[in-house]
Amino acid sequence: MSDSTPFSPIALVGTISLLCAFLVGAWCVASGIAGNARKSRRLVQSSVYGLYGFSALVTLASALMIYAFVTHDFSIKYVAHTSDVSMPTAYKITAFWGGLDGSLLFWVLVLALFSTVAIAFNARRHRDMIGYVVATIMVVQVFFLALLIFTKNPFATTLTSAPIDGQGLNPLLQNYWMVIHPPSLYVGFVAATIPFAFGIGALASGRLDDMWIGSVRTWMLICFGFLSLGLILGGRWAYEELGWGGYWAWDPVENAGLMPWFTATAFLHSAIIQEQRGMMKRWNLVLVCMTFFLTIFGTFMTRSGAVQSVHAFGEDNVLALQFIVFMAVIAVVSVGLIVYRSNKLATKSEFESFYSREFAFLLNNWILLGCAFFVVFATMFPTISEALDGSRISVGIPFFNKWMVPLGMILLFLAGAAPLLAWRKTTRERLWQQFRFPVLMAGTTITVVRLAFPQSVVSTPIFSDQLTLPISLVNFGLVAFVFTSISQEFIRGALVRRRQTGSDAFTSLVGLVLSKRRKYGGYIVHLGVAVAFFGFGGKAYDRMVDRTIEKPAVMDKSVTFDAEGTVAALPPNSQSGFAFGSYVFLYERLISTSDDHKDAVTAQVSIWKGGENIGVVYPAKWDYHRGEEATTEVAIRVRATEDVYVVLTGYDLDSQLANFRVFINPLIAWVWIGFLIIAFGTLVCLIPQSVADRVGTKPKSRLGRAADVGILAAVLFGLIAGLASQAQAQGGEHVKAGGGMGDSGVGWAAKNRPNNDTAEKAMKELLCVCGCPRESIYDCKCQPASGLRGQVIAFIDQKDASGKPVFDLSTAEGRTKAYDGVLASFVSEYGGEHVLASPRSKFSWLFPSLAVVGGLGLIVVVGRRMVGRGKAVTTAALAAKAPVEDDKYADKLDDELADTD
Amino acid sequence: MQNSTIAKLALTGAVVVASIAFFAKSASTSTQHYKMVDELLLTDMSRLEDQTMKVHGWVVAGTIKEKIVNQETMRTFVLHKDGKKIRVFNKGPKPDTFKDQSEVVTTGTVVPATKMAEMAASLDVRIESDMHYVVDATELMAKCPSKYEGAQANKKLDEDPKFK
Repeated sequence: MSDSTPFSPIALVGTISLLCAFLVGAWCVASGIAGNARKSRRLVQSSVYGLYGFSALVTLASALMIYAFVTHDFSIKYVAHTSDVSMPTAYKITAFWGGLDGSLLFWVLVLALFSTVAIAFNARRHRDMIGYVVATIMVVQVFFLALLIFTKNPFATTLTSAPIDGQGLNPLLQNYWMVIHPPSLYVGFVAATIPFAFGIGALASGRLDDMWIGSVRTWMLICFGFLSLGLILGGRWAYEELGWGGYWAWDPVENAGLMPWFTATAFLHSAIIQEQRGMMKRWNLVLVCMTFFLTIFGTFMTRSGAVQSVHAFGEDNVLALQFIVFMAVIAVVSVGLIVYRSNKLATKSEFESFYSREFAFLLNNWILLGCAFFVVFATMFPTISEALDGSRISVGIPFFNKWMVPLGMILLFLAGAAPLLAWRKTTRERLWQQFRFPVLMAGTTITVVRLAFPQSVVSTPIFSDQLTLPISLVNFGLVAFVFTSISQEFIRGALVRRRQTGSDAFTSLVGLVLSKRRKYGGYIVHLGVAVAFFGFGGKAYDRMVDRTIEKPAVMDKSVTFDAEGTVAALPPNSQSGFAFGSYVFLYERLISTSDDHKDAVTAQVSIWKGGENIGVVYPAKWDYHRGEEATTEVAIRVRATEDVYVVLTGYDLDSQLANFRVFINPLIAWVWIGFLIIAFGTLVCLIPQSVADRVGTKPKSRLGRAADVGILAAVLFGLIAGLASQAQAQGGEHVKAGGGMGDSGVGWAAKNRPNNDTAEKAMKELLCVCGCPRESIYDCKCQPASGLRGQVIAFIDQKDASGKPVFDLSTAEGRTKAYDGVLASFVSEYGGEHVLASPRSKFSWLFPSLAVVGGLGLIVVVGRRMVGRGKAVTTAALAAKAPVEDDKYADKLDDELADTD
Repeated sequence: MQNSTIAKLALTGAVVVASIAFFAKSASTSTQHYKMVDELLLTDMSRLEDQTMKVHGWVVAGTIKEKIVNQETMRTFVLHKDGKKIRVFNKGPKPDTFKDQSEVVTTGTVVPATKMAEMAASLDVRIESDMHYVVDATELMAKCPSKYEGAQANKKLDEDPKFK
């Protein structure tokens, strides 16, 4: 180790933990396989304990990584790359998974924790296959650990001295949804490993009865739940943060989470058929393996750079190759074992009728699988086309929608139809009895919507541009169909239970749900899906407009403002306003604020409907001091019928001109509500038997029973309310000028931020005098910089004796005068051009030129001396003194120095 | 193998093949080409007329002209790559990083220059006589050199000789 290489005890212990975990993991693989193959209980036990030890080591490494972030250990390259001193602690912890290296460690951590729980609960029950299960989990862990240790070590330290401050996390990721969205997706991805491990364990051990299905169903449900949560949180983040008015763009990273979601959902349905009818054993194993494969494939897509995406982790051919090899191993082992055990997987039962629940489930499985394959193919289309003919051809959102919308409609129909069908065969009488009300409601809904809202008939292309149908109208009909169908099932079930128990309607309903949690929890999920589709339907009617407003209302003397600083009455034909839909938007003022991390420019816009002011919104742009591109902070006025979504797309602080993009998004709130219901349904499915027994046991008193139900309802409600409150938090974020700004702006960095473009430009040109390494007063966080910024603002804003501004910033000439004037005043006050980032003296070129010439001369002299010395060294000594390691060291050093540029 | 199994397999195979064929045909009409300016100008643009595509190039300094008409910002500029140039027309917002010499990817359609003559006139711009086709862009994306990991893909893209 070089003397100048910074030493970090955290990095040292972290790396040793990972190395130890790697060795323990390798032992678990060997002992697990050998233990079950040789029926050695001790070896199997050893693999199980090894897994617990592995989890402890990985937890230690992760804790050290978080500690490094919190204590700003910038000698660790990953910490320096993804965080900085000024970031709030919550985002420092988020930065743990904000980059590629840390996200791989987070993956290993979550799988370690999950596998500990899964093995602890199942080690005894599945003694004859648990060794294989541990080995499978550990193969996955060892693969990810190998990536971490050999190519992506998050504890790697800098070779040069540690930077004073880090580079910070991408501003787009500094959003509260981003704190929970990636972990949710990772948890969903990782949870798919447990069913896969049990599936491989069952195949390897030959124990292919229905027992393994029971053990993995909960884990697949967790996978489904977290993937759903991760996907919707990602959608919500995109809706709030990216400012394009939508929540789903079929981006490869979004699709990476959606692909395993389809197969996990398919498994949750087909597992029921195996339990009820003993069918589809092979199919279930295929789905389990495919779900896991798709999680790895999705990780490969987003982390190897195989596809371009706005938020992929970057291109890495070595990593891509490693993932390809790993995926090939998964495919060969899975297919090989399924073929090898083919005879044991055969089922005797057959489908008896198309009008049966199992056939509806099978159809649902085929459609879900079709969706997964379609998304894989379409996502990889640019990569495939480039590989085939060298030209990059992409498919856009319309192509995805053209296929996925009709497939979604079929799935929606099945969500309502399958619960109405009987197992084996549904008689004609039962078909009529079950379907008449749902079909009637669907027909009535379509007719009423068609008549009441003639504009609802919007034709959408499906499968091909030539084939168009009023899909959104059909969608509303199907939503009504599913609602009626599921409600009918709840009502009938509750009535039967009421007759059996003699209890009241509410108790019967709760008892019904708790006694068959999976069934009725699943129905709640179906209801959630219908509600989400109701929201999706609104997409057909969304509208968008762009407007450029040259002057805000505050510059119009005829407009009066109230005490709160908003326009009191809508001025007729104001040039500061524009009409869109049933609304009028009035651009009132532009506000410039700052805090420790960023500068914000916020537009105050009032929204009017029928002459009434219905609210004021504050769309903004945030310019992070460490970022290079401003982020868009949209303002959303949420209503059940439609969201009004206002984006500040551009502005000019000098002239006060502002560009706005406004979206009217009908029914979009129902998408989020639908997913909350899905989350509730998933939680109901996951209620443990012990909790259900506790509530189900008839308490001695009514009070006790009410208390039990109340506690359960409070827990579930609390969880949902927590999510809902997060969903609503957005509403409050931008309701005040510079929402989210100012409160945390207590440091000097937040004081005297530029109030116009000229001031900003000047501050970036003037250097701080605090002794910092030539930072501009715009960037420097010290107290003197704050004072100097105040000086710039005062100079530019100065007024003459008549009270008129000295510099007219609305003209280019005025701006130039102000800019030149402030620089000149600083040069004269601080005695030289050293205060300028780029000195303006006509001789300023002389000094750098002399420095370059002098430097070159020095290099020549020193070089000649070194060459002279080199000649004296023998060839053998040269060979001995130039090991390969030095080249690597030099390359690494070059990379690091390049990073500091 | 039983006849019924063979029939099931044949039926499944037929459905899969038909689906893939239909899917491929559908994809072929929905694809979006991605071309650099020089690459675009080497192709027969009459064949690309009215097709939505992405055009990638650099803004020629001094060619950005903007005007606000009825609260709508209209603009035109010239994109270039290796000496080849094409004019772009666009309405609506622009990215913060859009400026002279910035690297831009536009999404829009290639249309005959005559189709945009009216907009050119309202912007007080004369379409160059050698430009028979221009881009009517609906979206502008300006690349920004970033230190963040998300930009690494772009960095690699720039290193690709094809995109130089």
